[in-house]
Amino acid sequence: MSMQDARHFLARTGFAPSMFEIEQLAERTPRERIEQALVNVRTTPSTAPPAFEGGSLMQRQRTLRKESDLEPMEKRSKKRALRRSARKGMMELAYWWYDEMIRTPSPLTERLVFFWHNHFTTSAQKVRDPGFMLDQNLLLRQHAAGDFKALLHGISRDPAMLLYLDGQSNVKRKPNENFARELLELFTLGEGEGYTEEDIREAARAFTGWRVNPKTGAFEFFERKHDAGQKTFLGQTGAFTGQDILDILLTRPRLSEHIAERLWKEFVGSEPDPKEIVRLGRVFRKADYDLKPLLLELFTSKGFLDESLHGGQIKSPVELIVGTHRLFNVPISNPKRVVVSGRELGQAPFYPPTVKGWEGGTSWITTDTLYRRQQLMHRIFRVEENLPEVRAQGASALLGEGNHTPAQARQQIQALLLPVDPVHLPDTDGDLIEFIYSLALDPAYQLK
Amino acid sequence: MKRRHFIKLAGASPLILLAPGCAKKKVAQSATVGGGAPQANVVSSGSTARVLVLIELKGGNDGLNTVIPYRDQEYDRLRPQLGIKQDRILTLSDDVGLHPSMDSLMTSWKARDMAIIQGVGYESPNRSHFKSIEIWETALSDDDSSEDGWLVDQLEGHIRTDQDTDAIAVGQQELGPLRGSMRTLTLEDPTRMAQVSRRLGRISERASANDSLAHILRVQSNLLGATERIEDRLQTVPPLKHAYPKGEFGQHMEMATKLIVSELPVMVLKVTLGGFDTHAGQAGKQARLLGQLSAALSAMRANLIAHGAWEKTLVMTYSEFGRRPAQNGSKGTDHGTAAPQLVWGGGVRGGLYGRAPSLTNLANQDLIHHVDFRQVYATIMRDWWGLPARGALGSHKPLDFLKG
Repeated sequence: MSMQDARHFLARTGFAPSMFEIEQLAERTPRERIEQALVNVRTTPSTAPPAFEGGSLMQRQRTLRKESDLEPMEKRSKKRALRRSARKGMMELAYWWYDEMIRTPSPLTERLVFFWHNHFTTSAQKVRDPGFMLDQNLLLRQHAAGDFKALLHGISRDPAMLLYLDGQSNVKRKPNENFARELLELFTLGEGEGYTEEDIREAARAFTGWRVNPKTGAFEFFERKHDAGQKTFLGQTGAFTGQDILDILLTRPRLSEHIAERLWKEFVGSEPDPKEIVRLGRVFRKADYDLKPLLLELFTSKGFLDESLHGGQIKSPVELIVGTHRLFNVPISNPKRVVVSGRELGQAPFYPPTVKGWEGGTSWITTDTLYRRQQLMHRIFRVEENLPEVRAQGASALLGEGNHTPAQARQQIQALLLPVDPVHLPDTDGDLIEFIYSLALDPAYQLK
Repeated sequence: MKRRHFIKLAGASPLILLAPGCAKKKVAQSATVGGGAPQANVVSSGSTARVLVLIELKGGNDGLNTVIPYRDQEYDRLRPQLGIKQDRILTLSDDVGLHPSMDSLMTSWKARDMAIIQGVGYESPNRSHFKSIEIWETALSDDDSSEDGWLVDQLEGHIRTDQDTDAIAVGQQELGPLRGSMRTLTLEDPTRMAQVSRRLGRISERASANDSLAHILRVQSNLLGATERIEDRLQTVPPLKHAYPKGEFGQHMEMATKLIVSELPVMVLKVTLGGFDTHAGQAGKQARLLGQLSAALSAMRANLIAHGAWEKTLVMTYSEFGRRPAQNGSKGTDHGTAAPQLVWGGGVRGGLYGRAPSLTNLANQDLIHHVDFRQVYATIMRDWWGLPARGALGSHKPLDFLKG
């Protein structure tokens, strides 16, 4: 039983856990498990991200625009080259993140960074600049299990976010409400929760002048374009700047509950008990928005530990790909294919489909994506060079050294790979790789 | 007991006409194609719908030993052991001949429905398997990265909306030129699919406690339902008279033939033949592979002719690159550049096209191409389907190996 609990915890807070990881945690209490995982959370990546030299895309486009002695044809072709180079950079960046997720000693870190990426959504489709997208990723990473206040303040000044939600065009006399709206609706309070259209408008005014300096590519408070007048926001009045708006939001209990709800949806998946959300919100506020106590409460709550939840969620494309690569140590011969596979399954890191992010849950599975998931498994398990350790060492590659009969080994591998019994009973007599392959094709393998 | 070949279908139940996610792109594309709404029935109308069969020769087929410049003395000098002896070569012209294993193709050659396009390649050739096959599959140069196959790009907006499937990849394989929003179906391992379909019935009660699992099973059931429709259609095809070579490739070619004969309105079929990366011990390997290719092609041709479907079928080989003209130290050849492409079909104007690459005027000890592969693609767009080539493809001059 405790093995399955440990497995559930690791699968829900990380990617596909190995037998070693499960055994390490199996004898600990739930509290000890999460404390251990939180201690290991990183604030910087474990692999070196790509370096994007030569200034931001914005800066280089600006320089190009100002070049007056270029033929229009030449200018156009240089423009295209800049865009191509940005696209290439994004592909590199996406691959780097997959690689980080596969190699990291702290899967919880990556799950949290991805959670925040899906919360403070920003898409490279609009931002285009790989340098900005990387910087945002590093910001999320810095505070993933840390100070939410710092995260919130940081993300509102983040160049990628400013570009994505039109901070650039939010100026005095012509305020752009995009960021203010999503700030209230998605990032802090939640749709319809205690704010009005008027509040959105006033908040937008407060954020005017917050922009990315086109020459330096860094955040700046452009005073000239800032509406310094009096604003009334959530019942308070003052000559608010964006900073003040965020500080006011942080006084609302609703914010802490909204964040707790979002985390619940991501990691627990079931409909949260409203009383539980209120309790978690209180914990979060009492800790002055330190995420660690909130996460500790979340992962030790009765809701999370409920056994009936095992296998109750569907793995996201990234979780499926990363988990499979991690667990089976699948060598990556073509990095681009990994990124493209994820995209084909419906999830391209750095490209959330809308500002609401990836919906997740059952939306991951359609006739098309289910077929593609199975095709992906087929590709991974059918290629000769993959699974070298399993081919060489057999079951002990996955289970560690130990005395198991072939039947026991298969049972254990099944328990390792699947959170619930397989739908199609696999053939236990054949080849080990075939056995594993049939488990990977089973609908239960799509669950976590 | 007849073995049922089960099929897995991507993205199509009768209510979903297009794969998820491609609707948006379709709208954008139709705006660039000479204005007007996508012409749904331009290319396919009923049983006269034209089919393109792609045969990927995976690994980089050694073109120089396939279409052999037997009179060129350089050939013997470059390949003292690996060169094919002149008396075994199947003569095609005064200058070139075919590898002896391809004798089953001579019927087609004599009937003039086989065309050989010599010296096909592209500028700044890439000798990496992945990068080069991507270039062939997307018809884009290394710098421009797109993940969509060239056929998806070119055919978008011209696809019938009253069918489940646009293309079929026979045998588990990379979609390559079909990658993207086209509805592509893959023929899978029949035994496994049979197991799945039999057990699906027993499962439904279990799933009720787990909504996620129930959802997956529902979707799986839809998937199988759609494939069964195709399966039923295949059942209407009588056994094919002309036999295929033993092995997976032969089976896949047989399946492809049946699909065409069944008049399933698909536009593209893709089959893969692997093993061409002959760095060592090339002679036997390539002979076997070319033999399989030829025997299977010849059977397909004979069967399609017998069923009156040869006129609407066009078959084309492609490979990521040719190989080096000089043999290496392991009785094989290393990654190269230009190679011939072979094309067959009722609409083909048989003969030799392009030029055999020079064996003396080399670039980095590799053959220099005369025909850009995109010219071959452009020819297919213009003369096979009568569609304007989109984007960069439009700037490549078509050849005239198709009757149009």
